Amino acid sequence: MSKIRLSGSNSGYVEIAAAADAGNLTFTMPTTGTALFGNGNNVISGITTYNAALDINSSIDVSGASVFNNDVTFDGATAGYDVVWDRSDNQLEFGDNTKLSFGASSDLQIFHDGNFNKIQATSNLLIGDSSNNLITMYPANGGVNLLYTGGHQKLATTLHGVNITGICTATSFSGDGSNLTGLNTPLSFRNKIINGDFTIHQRGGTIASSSGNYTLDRWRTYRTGDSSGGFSVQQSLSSYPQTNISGVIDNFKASAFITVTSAGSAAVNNNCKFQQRIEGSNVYDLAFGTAVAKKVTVSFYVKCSLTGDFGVALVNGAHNRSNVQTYTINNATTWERKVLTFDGDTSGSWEYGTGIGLQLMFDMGSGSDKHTSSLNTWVSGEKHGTSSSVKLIHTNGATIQFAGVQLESGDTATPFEHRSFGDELARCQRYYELIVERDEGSNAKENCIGLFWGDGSNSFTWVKFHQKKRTQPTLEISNYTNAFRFYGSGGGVNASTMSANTLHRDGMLLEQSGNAGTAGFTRVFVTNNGLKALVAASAEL
Amino acid sequence: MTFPTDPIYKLYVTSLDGETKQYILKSGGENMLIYIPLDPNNMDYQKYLEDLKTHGMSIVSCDNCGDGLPNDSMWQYLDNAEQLLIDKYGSDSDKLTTLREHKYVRAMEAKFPYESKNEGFKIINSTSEEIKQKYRHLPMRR
Repeated sequence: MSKIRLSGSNSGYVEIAAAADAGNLTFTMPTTGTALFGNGNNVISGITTYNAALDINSSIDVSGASVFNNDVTFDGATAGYDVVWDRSDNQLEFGDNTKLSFGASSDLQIFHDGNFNKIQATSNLLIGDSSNNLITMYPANGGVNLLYTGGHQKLATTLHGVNITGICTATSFSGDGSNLTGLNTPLSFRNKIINGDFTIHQRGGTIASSSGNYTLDRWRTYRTGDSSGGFSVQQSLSSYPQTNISGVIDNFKASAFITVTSAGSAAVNNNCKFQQRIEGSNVYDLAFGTAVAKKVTVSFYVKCSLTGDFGVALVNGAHNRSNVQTYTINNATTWERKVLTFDGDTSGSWEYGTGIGLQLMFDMGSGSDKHTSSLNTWVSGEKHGTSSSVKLIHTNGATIQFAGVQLESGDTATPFEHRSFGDELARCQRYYELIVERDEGSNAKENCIGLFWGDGSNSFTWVKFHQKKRTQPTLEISNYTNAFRFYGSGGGVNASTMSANTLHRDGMLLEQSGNAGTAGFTRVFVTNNGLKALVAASAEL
Repeated sequence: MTFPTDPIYKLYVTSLDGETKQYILKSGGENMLIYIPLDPNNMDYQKYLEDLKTHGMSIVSCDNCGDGLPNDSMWQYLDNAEQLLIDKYGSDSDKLTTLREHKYVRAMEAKFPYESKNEGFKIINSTSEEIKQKYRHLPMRR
């Protein structure tokens, strides 16, 4: 029989059934035409559903997309080295030591060995996008591993340590740092300004400006000219920047509070400034006046009753080299942080000894003699303002406050360097040391200055300074009878004339004449009860 | 101690164990006295020198010439310098000659406080021929 067609009606079916013991049921497929099974390769067209397991004992070739609706296991040759698509866990699971392997020679493998998770590569491992590497690792000994940002290498690990390109910021560092070299911003004494946080005020009170006087420690006023007005400086312990103010990154507890007490007006020779003179021995590393002069960055907080552009300058000790910049106060009576970077001066005469090395000048409203239009450029002469910068001194009652003043080497403003109160006081005492002070009317016990020894006509005491002075100091001493008093044999005796016998950098010999007492007796020398008395040594710049 | 107010500076001399020291005395206000050492690095001393250049020696008073030798206190340029020396050491003291020679050389070299011709020639014209001969090698003051 060459052809048989089995067809069922709408209500029937065609069945080819073989009994269990009937032997094989064989379909021999045609070579052309539409067939359920193709000839030779047994092609089945359309969806074929198997309701039981399908066991294929040879290879399969799937040309279309495949969907496995349950777990799939890839069975490794070694027991347990399997890969399982675990449908319920929604993950492809590699058994221990079952590797994800890339490259013709298994160049890159990812696996878990039972203890550790491993990525192993036989050549360089590069991680990134199609254009740039993010991470480059060189497995060979001595290789350098690199970390990139934006295509720029930033971190490299080597056999010797880690190399970082750019700014390294951390919340803390450990180690002694003894081998740190070439740091543009040193870890300590970054701030060349002393008392930049205005916490030290040995002289106390509100101090009127003059032609060169000191106010808060190390901070000097200078005001001369035909119409320079007047201003005063005091320490404010109630108004200072804190980090709850927008833009403030440091916390403080004090500021310098400057008030214009009498308005000046435009005069070419007005010279009004609030400044700090820095000793040359503290700025020699800036190498100003040489080809390797370093940049300097000044940062500070300011709060002013006026807005606009204000002048600030770096000036040398000889007052013949200046670099002026302006800072903008955007909002009145609001603390704002300002950062200004100055180029180092490669020429000019700069002091590196105990004289004035560098001056930071905040312009209070100087006249045109102190103006320049060349900003951020070293110019001849003393300049600290511009023709358009705000002249604070012209507004009676105007106020300006400074806090957190920092001057550091380099082009980056680091957070304010907070030093201990004792450390800061000691730095101030190199320039001014209040030996003893007693306010008038004070009922406190007498302040002891030292032991006096009398020779029958005069008596002397040696006062050792807490800090060696920059130069032979000037003695400032109360001058009226009974300001001081001696206690010793025979009771107390009021001192009369006090004077300097010897002024040294380490200390001074005070001399008293008038009530010398018995020769040879040693007496305790104190301030007198209820009277104002002051002894101080000044070696300011 | 009396406050120096006019003149504003007073030269002060003290001694200990035979060593004489000189300071510049100034009123610091509020019953304060300021003792300024003769140290060129001391800013108060530098201000003293500036004030002398601006206002002349009239702002300084002195009643004790110390060891009688010219020094950085500038006492030697005061109008009463010779009298102070005579009062303390006598009119035949070598110190008087030293003082006159010192002032003559400064005047010839037009140095402080004799930069102006007027002040310079006051000294030069009043100097003895003996001293002028001793320093005849100095260039003529013009």
